[in-house]
Amino acid sequence: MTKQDASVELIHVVKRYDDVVAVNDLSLIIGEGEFFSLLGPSGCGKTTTLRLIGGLETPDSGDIFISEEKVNDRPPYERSSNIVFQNYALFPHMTVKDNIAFGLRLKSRRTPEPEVEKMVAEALELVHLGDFGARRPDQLSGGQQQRVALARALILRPRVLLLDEPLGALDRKLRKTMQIELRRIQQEVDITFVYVTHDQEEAMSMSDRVAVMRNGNFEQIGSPQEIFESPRTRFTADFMGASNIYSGRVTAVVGAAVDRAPAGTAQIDTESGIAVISHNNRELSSGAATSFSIRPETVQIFPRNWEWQADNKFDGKIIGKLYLGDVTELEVNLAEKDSIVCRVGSRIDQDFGFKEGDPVSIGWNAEDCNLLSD
Amino acid sequence: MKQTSPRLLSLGCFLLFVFMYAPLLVVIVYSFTPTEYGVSWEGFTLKWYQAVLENKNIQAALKVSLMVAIPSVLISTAIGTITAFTLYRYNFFGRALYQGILYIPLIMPDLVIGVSLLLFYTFLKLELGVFTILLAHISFSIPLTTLVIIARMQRIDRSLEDAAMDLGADEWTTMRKVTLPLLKPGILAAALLTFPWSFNDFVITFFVSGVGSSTLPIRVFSMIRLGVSPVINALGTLIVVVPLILVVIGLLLERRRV
Repeated sequence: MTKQDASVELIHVVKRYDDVVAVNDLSLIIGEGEFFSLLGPSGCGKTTTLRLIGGLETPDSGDIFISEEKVNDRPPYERSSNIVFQNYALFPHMTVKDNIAFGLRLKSRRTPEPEVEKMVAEALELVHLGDFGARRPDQLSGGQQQRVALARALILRPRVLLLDEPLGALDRKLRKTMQIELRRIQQEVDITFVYVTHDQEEAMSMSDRVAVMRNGNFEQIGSPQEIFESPRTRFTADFMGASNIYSGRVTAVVGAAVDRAPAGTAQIDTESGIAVISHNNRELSSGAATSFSIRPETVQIFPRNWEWQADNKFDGKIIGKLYLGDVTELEVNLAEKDSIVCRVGSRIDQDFGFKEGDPVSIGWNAEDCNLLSD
Repeated sequence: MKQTSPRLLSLGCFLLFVFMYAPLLVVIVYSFTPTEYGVSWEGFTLKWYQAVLENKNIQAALKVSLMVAIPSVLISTAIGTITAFTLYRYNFFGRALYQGILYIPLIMPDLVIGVSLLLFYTFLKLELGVFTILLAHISFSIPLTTLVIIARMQRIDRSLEDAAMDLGADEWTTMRKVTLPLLKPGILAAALLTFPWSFNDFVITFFVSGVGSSTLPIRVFSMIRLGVSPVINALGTLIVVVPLILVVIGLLLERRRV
């Protein structure tokens, strides 16, 4: 990404609260029109980062730019960013229409009233709330309040829209609908969205890029696919739901250790005593300590007597079964202390008739091993 | 649990309310009875109310009471609002101390407050009169108004002010368009609660009123020294009923949700 199309830029930004470092030396460029998500568990600094961009917090050190303009010392009301708050923060003493028109009617903008009327009507239309202008926020459902908050921020045509877990309070089905809505609106208005969430599915389904955060640092930044399929650290792998993570030591290296097909492979002996063949895109040499993750859906499982091929193949017994609706998770013991979770379509599970205690063989290919650094 | 206990409880509750309100009821009933010193019911009359309304002394005292109560309510509510806002919103040196000592006057005996104010005003060489009564009433009303308004403020979602600023409102506009409108029920409740405080106060006013400027409670006190007349019953009824209505309205407003 070149600096010319940077919408938001953070340079070595630090924010402390007393002794706690909430945001630790963050540097980041978010592109014009990008849908960028900050993903992480609570307390990782994602909301603080958002508030720093919006101007509700000021950095202890470092610089923040919005559209090439340094905004460190600008109060929130002089920044071309707007926030959609987690709890919506709709003004309870105003109607929906007055809420949406709040920014336009301020002295600093002096929008003529006919213009306000027109823009509010358009904004209500954009979020599919055409007839709700005269209502009060407490007469709306959570999803509707959410849309009002969105309209209130978008009507000011900010350069950047900052969204702080806006779907957190909605039920699952409504969330799905709103995710699609948000993406549609973002493409329609063509504004940079910075989206804070702790829900990895949400981040993946909407974002162009995702930054995984931990303890005020970026753990990994990349496309949803990169982060999901090739997490670089144990934390990211774990957070993205890769439940199979193992530590071990490289005992043999074969072929070229580069990140292109066909990559070389490494044999890794895990702490629990199994030997695994992994592709080696990290130039690991023999004797190196490492850890790797295997996504549950890449692990294959068959009855013990089945004929099939995989780079890594082990015999085991099913020790746990979790029905999740469309998929079923089967836990199989690998060695004395270790086990592996594989996820198969519930239909396949039913066809095989897997039960706890069944002898099975499980396996995965070398390229499904994703090497991690801690 | 047997079903009889709620019945017992409700009887107890009833007796409690008789204990609390029967004396008031007696005053109200006697205010409508025609006999001068009687303690027996001998028909209905409004003549004592007429006497109250025609009594020049009572009128003068009522005027003083209102001249004190109205400005003291307005000023103490305004100061209470600013104090509450400052104590709740800003962190500054000594805030905890201020917060701690703010409410002490609420539990301090009126006698102590009265004596200390008298000494203080004398020390400042202020002439005792309506002005010193007003000052005293403002000073003992501020803890109450602040308390009520802080309670309201705690229920205002901080992110509403963040949102206003984010949408382009500076601090002052945010205060005017968001904070104050949301505080309004608290401010009104504070005003309606302090009005009877000021209007009914006897002990503190007694110390700082000096000669010639009697508020209504002080006038009533001096009338009683000449014997309990039904005029006082009628006046008492009015004094009880009017602020009571104001307090009820105040509480209802405070309980109304944000």
